[in-house]
Amino acid sequence: MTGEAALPLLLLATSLLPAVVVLALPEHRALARNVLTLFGAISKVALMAVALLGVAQGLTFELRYAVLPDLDLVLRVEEIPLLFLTLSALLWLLTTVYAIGYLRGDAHQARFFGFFNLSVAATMGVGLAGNLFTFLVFFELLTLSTYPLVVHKGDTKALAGGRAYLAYAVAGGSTLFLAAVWLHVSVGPVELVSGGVLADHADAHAATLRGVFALLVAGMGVKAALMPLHGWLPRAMVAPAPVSALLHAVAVVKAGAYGIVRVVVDLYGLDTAEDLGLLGPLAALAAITLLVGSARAIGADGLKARLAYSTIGQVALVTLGVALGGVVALVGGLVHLVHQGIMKVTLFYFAGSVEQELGVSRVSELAGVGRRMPVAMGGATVAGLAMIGVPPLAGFVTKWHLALGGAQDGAWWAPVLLGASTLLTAAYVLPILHTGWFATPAQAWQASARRWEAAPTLLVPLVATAALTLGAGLLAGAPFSPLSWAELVAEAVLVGEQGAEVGGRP
Amino acid sequence: MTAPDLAGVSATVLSAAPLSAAVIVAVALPLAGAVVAVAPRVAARLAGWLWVAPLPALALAIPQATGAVDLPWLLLETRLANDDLARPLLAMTAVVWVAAGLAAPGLVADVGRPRFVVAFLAALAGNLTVLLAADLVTFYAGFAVLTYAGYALVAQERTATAWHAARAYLAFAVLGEALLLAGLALAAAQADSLALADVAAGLGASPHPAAGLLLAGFGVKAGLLGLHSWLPLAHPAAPVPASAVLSGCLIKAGVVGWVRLLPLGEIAMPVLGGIAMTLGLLGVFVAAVLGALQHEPKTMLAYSSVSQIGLVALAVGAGAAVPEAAVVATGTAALFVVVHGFAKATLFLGTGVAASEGRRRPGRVLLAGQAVAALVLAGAPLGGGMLVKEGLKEATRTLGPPLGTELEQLVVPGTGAATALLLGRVVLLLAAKQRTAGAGAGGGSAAPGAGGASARVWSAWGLVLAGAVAAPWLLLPRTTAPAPTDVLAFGAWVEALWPLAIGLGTLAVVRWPARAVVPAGDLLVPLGAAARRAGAARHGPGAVHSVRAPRLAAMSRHAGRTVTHAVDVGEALLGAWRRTGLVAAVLLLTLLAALVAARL
Repeated sequence: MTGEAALPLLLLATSLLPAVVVLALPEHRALARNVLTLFGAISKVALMAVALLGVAQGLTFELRYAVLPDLDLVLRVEEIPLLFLTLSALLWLLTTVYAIGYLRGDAHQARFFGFFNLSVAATMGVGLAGNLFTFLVFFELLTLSTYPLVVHKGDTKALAGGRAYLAYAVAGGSTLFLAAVWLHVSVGPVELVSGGVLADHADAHAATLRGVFALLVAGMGVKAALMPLHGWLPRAMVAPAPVSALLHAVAVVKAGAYGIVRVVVDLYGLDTAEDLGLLGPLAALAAITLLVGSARAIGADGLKARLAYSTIGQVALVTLGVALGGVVALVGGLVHLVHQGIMKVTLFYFAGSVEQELGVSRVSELAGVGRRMPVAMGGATVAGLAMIGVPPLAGFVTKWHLALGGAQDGAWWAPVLLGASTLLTAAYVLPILHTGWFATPAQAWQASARRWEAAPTLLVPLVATAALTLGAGLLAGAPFSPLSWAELVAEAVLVGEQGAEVGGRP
Repeated sequence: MTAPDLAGVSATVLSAAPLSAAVIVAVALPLAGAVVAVAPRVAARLAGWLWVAPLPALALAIPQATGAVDLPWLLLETRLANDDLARPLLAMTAVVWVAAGLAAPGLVADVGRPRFVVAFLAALAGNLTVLLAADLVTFYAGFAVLTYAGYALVAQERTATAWHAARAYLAFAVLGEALLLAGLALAAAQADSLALADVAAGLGASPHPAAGLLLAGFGVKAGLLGLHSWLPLAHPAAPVPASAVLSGCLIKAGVVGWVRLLPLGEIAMPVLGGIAMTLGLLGVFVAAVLGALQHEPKTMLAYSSVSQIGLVALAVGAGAAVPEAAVVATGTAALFVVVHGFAKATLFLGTGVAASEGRRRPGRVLLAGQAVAALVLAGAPLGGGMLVKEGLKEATRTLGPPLGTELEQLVVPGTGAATALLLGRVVLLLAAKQRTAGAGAGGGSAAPGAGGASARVWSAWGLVLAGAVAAPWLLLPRTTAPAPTDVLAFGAWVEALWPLAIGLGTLAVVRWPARAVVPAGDLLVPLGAAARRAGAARHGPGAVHSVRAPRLAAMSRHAGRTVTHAVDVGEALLGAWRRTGLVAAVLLLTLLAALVAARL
């Protein structure tokens, strides 16, 4: 076995092995559990660094295994997956630290961390998937491994939320399965390759490809919470804060958006999708989701409910990026895969910290939190302003590319849409910040019993992601920033597309 | 000098290292201060030294300091440049901020708190970035930093009034930011470049809706009539030194945006120019009347700013409507920014001195100085306001008869009457307060040095007053305003004095109501009441935390009974999930092992 093939395998194994051991360990072995989980997470980050350097040097890391004749399980590290995988590995490490602090004293930690690790493995698989079949397998595994995390609390509300989640996700998975089968029957086995592979079939199978696309988007749209398939997301808010953070930032919702990106860019190809007339409806769907999701967030008083609706809108920006069809907008969509992750995870860390430390779960109860927990509030301020799109923070870089890309391609409505989204986002973010910093609490908060305002395990990840949010925007022009990487990817896609065209018309 | 040169980066770029360093330090020093002042101890130490932060920027005002510096790793390839348009603005901005920094310890209650020091220094950094930015993204970033730091300055006092004002400020500011995001993206796409000069040129290629978005977006910040309602609330609510920089510098960022990005002189935009001129002229007179009906000096001064911005909107509108007027319009706008910045900062700082000053002698000096600053703005002979009016006349003359003539001969001079009326009332009101000698009677802030403002406040006030009197003459040769000989002619003096006579005459004749007739914030008050009613209806009892069950979920519950049942069974097994998970994980691991085996 070569080193190139080992890397995808190791990326999976670094979470799968801990998952197995943690699930088998008895509940009271907290130290062993935490050390093992952290070890897995840290090795994964190290492996990602190797992968980044390797791909930058032009290496391909691929593992292929024939499950059936004509049906391969393919795990491959390439450009777009790297964005998703690096984000996942990094945020997973931070969230592991956070979860250890958040769940201290909880009854079912073995179960929690076991499935926690299992869902990382699933996410890694989704990210590495080199064809639709592999994607499907891990997409389903993701559903199953995150369900126990969603219902972790085990009360009636949690079970109801979990039921909604499972119903939606299984329905979405089935749709996806149908689409994969249909595509396989019509055009044979296809891989996910930069620039798309379906250009040759566009003429012969136009109707089929349109149908398959609709099913694919519907199936992934459930996880990506595209309207009207978003119903499960606000109800899955019953999950513990670190789980919500992951669901929203890297795992479930992001996996759906990532799937849509890969379908458009790596399966169909931007040009082919455009020719088939698929991007217009997708853009419309994303635009509606963006506006309605943001608007619904304005009324919600529950902090996590507000963040949930916000996710619906924010993730739609990723879909919008690919749906606009231009290279600049694509850069915006790709970079938002990362930016949305670090911004939203910061806000969920904040929600979890104030809940754990002060028992606050509603926006109206945040008064005086800025004085009591200035660091957490500061992190939330950075992330909140970034989501509005205030320069020089990460969210601005996204919005700027989407607006500029839209305008360049003649979609004059795109800048206007993003302006409107700025207003709506400000309307649900700024009250959080205003209440936290400026409102006077009904009674003074009890001073922290510790040296810091909250447990360091809760604060350190929050500060780290807030710093990333600032850095990703401020240093967007620097090499290895998310933006530089997204630009690299977009260029590769463009080259791949031209290559596909050349190959398609000999 | 042509308009594109003014609006763009100077053609001769000095790549000298000292200049690059100076440009970077000018922005980085206040920014670094803002970052370290997050620590309360550091903030307390920095509070007395805030006036040092703008000094590097002041050094950039010298003629030799033109040039650009590239920072490709920052934002989307940041480019900072100092040009002939930026230099006089930098001079005014730096001096006004120095004065505000000097006055702060005497006039801000909690000056040593991070929330003031950070907001002050961040706003300064944003302001300087707006002036020095040569690319769209850096410009917008500076603009946003200025906007949000400005919010913290307005909310500083933490009273109910301050919060109401801060909310109004923020609502308008975010609206402006949204308009700008759309406008800037459309403009950048049209120009296919991020350089400010290219964007203005690109918009000039054909009529484009982006220009309208930019006019409105920057109009919010400048306080253009109709988009101004935040201003009479926010400026009085802030502590005095903050009001001085808000009125003196912050609203000018909007003017800088207009001048830098609108394609003045590139293309005739009669509709856009007409709208700007109409709103500008209406603003001059409407805001003056609204302001004169107030009873709080700082509110009146804020209305005066709205009124004065009308003048610059008139200039910009003329430049937009008639390309030939653009050069004069741009020069006049720059001159206006300098004159109004100094004079309005003087008037605001003066109210701070007045509020905490009870004794007789300094009172007279103060009133005399305030009167001088008011006269400068009203366009009295030898003052900077007169130069601005001359420039305006020249710009409007280009519009041609009959409108241009009317504007030039009647309306533009007439604006002096409106200014004289409003500012005359401010000075009279101050004089009345001086007589009653109530400490803290006037200003919105409770001044700590109630036994007489410190020498620092006096020197700050003197500094900007000197700027208001002298700066226009120092800067005159550098602008496109009229020659000094025109200004010294007898006819010009008569023309400058009759509006003053009308304004002051009206002031003397009319019996002014003792209480404010129009509430501060005018348009916003009925709107705000409606919003509060709507909010009360929405946040009725029990309606607050409602996440309605999505319809689709309800449908699926009814339709898919089998699925639900299966899920129920699954949930019943929750206790066993750990075991189930173990099995799943082991299976997967086996699969992986198979993979490895297949490869080996």
